[in-house]
Amino acid sequence: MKKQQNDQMSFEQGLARISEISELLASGEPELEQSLALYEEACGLVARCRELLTGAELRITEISAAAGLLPNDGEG
Amino acid sequence: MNREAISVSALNRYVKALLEGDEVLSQVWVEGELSGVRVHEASGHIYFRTVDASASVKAVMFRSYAQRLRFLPADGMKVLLNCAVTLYERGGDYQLSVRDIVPIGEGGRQTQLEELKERLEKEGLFAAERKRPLPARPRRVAVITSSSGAVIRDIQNVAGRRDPFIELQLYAVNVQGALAVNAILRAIEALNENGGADLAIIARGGGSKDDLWLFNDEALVRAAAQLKIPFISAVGHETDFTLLDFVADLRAPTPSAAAELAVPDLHAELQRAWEQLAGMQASLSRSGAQLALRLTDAGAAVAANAAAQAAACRDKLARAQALCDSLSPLRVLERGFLYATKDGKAVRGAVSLKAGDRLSLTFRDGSAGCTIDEVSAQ
Repeated sequence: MKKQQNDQMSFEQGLARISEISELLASGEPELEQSLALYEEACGLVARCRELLTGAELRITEISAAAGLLPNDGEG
Repeated sequence: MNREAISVSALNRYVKALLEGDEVLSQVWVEGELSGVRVHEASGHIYFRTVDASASVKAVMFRSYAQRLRFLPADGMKVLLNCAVTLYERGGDYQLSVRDIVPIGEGGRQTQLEELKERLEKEGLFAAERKRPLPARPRRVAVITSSSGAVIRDIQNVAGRRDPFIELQLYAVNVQGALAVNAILRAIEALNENGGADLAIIARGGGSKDDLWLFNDEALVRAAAQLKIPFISAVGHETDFTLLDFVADLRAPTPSAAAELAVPDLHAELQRAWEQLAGMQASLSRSGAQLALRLTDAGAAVAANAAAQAAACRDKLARAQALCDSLSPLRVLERGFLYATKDGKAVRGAVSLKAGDRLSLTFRDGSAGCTIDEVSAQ
């Protein structure tokens, strides 16, 4: 269930969850067994985020709001 | 007196033909200073006057020529004009039809720039308090630059490598020639109207001092100061400075650097998160190790106990073995004795034997069978 939820996560959410888990682990509150489960979850998220990051492609949109622009012949 | 009259139109047409027919006036270089420079929005033509100490003349540079200009004509510039002399029929004014403008007297232009810089500085346009912090995690970055050329590609590459989840909005403009200023002004205006972006980059690749001069334009600098979102200037190379850099919230040495400054590196952030987690792993293994240590301690106790028991057992065993060994008949054989068996049973005395019995004699190194000849009991 958790795994499935994590698969739906965005990079942003994943990164936030990793930090959250790190803090939880740092607090020393969870029992060892739970800590291990959290750690495992975070490791999965890191892999997932890495995958998202390498799979994503930057979007570029050209805004033509500046109407009446001359044909662009300028040098970059 | 000849009272025959001609129309004004005819007159102007006639004078125009005279001027344009003149060999000298059809291709002439005029030296002067620019004054009242105005770019006509719709047509792209540039209008101005050329003056010297005591006279002035109207001039026009049509768009087809204006587009080729490598710098922005500005008031006060000392220039050489390559032009033809003609006449504007409707107004009857004679004017220069300019094909090319060559700036002369760099000193004058530089002085003018310094004056403008000082003026804008006094107005507080460059003040540190005006600088806005860049958004830590921009979602949409508006880029005002040419749609062709390396700049937008570089920015796209760098930004895409660092945070591919952002959106770049390209406001494509001329960044070259006399019409660039107007294009950039319009883009700034459109950007302010559209909203949506949370950061802007105004960029141009490297070029000559003349190429980059338009980013010293007063109107452009003032408009940039009115941008509603923080912006990074990235004009030319590291050593190039324009007034736009001074009014920008942040100056980047190059367009690629602008992308780096604008867009956080998510790979690095993920790496940091991973390292933080790895730190946790260390502490986890520490607590795991502590647990393991406790286990080991307990185990060691058990093991020590077991070892002691084992040692005791070994001792007992050794003693038992020693005893056994000492009692073993084999030890006796070592010393040269032998023993005899009859039908698998040890022979304990002569009395149990009679002539003809088969015996087996066991030596240290083997055995031998033999038959009893006679028995003499004591």
